[in-house]
Amino acid sequence: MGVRWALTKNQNTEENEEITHFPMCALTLVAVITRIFYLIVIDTPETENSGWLSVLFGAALSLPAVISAYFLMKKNDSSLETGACKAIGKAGFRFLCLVISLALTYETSALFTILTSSGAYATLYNTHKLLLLVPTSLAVIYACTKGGNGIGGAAEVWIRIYIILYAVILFLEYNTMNASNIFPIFGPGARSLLKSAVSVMMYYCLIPVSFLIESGYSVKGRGIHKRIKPESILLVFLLCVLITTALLVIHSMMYPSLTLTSIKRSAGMDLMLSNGRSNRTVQLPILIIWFSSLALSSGYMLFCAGRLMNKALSESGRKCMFLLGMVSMVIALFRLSGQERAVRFSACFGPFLSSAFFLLAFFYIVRKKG
Amino acid sequence: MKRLFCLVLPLFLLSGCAQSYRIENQAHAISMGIDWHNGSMIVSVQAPNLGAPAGKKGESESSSYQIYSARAENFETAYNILQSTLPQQLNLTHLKTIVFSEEFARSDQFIRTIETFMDVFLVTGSASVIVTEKTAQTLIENQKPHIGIRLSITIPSMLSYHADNGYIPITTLSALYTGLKGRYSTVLCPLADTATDSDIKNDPFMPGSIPREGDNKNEYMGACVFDREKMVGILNGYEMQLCYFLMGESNRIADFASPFAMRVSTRKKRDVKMEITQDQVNIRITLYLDIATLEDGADLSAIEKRLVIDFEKVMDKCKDMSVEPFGFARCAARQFKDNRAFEDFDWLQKFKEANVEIRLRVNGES
Repeated sequence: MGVRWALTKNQNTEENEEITHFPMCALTLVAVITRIFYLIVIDTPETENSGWLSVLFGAALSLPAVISAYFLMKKNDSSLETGACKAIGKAGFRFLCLVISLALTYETSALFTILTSSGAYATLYNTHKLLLLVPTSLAVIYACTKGGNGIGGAAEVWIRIYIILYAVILFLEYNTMNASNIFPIFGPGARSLLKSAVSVMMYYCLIPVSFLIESGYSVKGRGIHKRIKPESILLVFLLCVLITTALLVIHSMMYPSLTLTSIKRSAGMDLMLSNGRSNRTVQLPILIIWFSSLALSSGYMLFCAGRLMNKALSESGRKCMFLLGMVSMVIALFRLSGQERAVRFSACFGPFLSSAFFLLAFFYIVRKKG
Repeated sequence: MKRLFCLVLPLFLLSGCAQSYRIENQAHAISMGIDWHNGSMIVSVQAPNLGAPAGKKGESESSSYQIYSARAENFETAYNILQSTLPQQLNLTHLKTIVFSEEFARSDQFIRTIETFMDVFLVTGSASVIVTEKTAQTLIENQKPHIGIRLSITIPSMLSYHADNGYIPITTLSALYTGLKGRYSTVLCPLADTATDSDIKNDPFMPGSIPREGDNKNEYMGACVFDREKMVGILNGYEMQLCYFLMGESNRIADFASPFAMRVSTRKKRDVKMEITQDQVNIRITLYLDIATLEDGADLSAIEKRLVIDFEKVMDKCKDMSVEPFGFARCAARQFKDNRAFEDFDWLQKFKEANVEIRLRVNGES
């Protein structure tokens, strides 16, 4: 049943830096799908045209974390935070938030690096990295500090535009797609696919993180706030898995499987952004999708990092976002979040994040029984 | 403060307008040639002579293009020499053709140079690749703008016209690279030559020996075939036309280069059936063709028999070269679990020993 909230200026979601349910879901969808797509296509080209299987394996590996989060939400009136606090206490919860916040700060810097490399690849190859990175990062930091619903609303609009642009891409690329390109089905072998699935796991585990941050209410017309249902976490997870898999299958059908000696990002970008540097009509919608999705993803990571830090230290969310954004920028400037490091980091942090949510549910059950 | 921030932010984005990006400071190459002779690499580029007065009456159109070249022991050094000696910064983003001499394409230098080329240099992948029997420099020197006034228009439209007739394939640099690096593909590149009086060849479907006369000395006919590392053989113009049908890519060939005067088009997509056992591959390919003979009373069954023989000759030629440009490998890959299983099967060797049956389903009209 909907509850009408009398919003005063202080309760306004923009002012208190909260983000409501639908903008957060939209932002999570864009960020998770973009990051996994980038990880498979650009950062782990060794998966060749079977990367979509890694996505499914990654989803299977992260399922316990998502189910655990769902369980905690179900038991605590859709509030994951309450469940987590009951499981490990407020101090434990704050520590967990701090760790995830720092990890997402690093991830933000990885996304800043990706944005910069994409810009450098596309046209600005002679421009100094500082001149590319600083304005890009500042724009993202500025957008994040203006409130979560702003960037979340942008993601909602973006999803609609994305559908139209992707329809254009499919129309233009229909003739070049070949189903044979996705065979042999296990491509480089199950071992390689599982290895990248571990990295994929981290990004699926960001879905419960989103539900830690969001307000827990969806806002309908005239400011009617409605408590969300715990099933929505499963729905977002399912949508992320299905859409990412579908996008990767389509992508794999567009290009033949290559035995690349170079696994540099530029090789993957060549194929994805410009079909091996062959300019075609399809390049424009692809580039629009690419840069916008990356900008929203980095905004998502920074916003989550800031909000989690805000929960951990009880400092102003805006201040946290600004400071963590600057830290991310410095990390990216010193080239500490390059391709290899970013892949290695996600491979390590994914299992940590997954097991953290699983343990939260475990401790919750133990405490309830005790 | 916000206004100041908004004003300062765009200033960073204007860095692209530095002096080095002015068009007068760039030499936009139209064609690039790479030759390999006696252990040294010769890199040539043809660029428009910006700011040059229009050609006078009687003066060749090609005088508005300059050719620069450099020689070194490898591509990187030759390219650097070229860049340092050019009056402007060399820009390869508008390249239309990259010409390789046959000697270079057959050398061990080829794959290494292509890898370096794609990894390091800001070259457009949409440039068409051409292999010439003589030197690349000779072919570039003889390129003349006929259709339009610019070579950048003449070359792509000419290549497209020849490809429409099936005499040559069109291969971009990125397609060459992905073809060389692809698991299941064999790449074909257009073959060209500059006709000279001293050329004596008996094949009218080979460039450089086509019985014709005209201003343009460059002839484009046939294809060169690459394995994973270098060029391994040649298909002449007629074989290339047949190859198009076997690859399932051709729609309509108006001037079919067979002994019969006819037009051939595909009625339906080819049908490939494949049986793979441990040590034997059986392929049955059915082509659905519409044949329009230009002579009254032509014997369609004789044409069909002759075509089957010619298709089989092309297939055997490719088997002898240990290449498979027909896309059968992709069909075969469906039957394997992963890449290792496919590699262990040794597809190319099995294809050499495969039983290939070619069937034609012909509809005739005269």
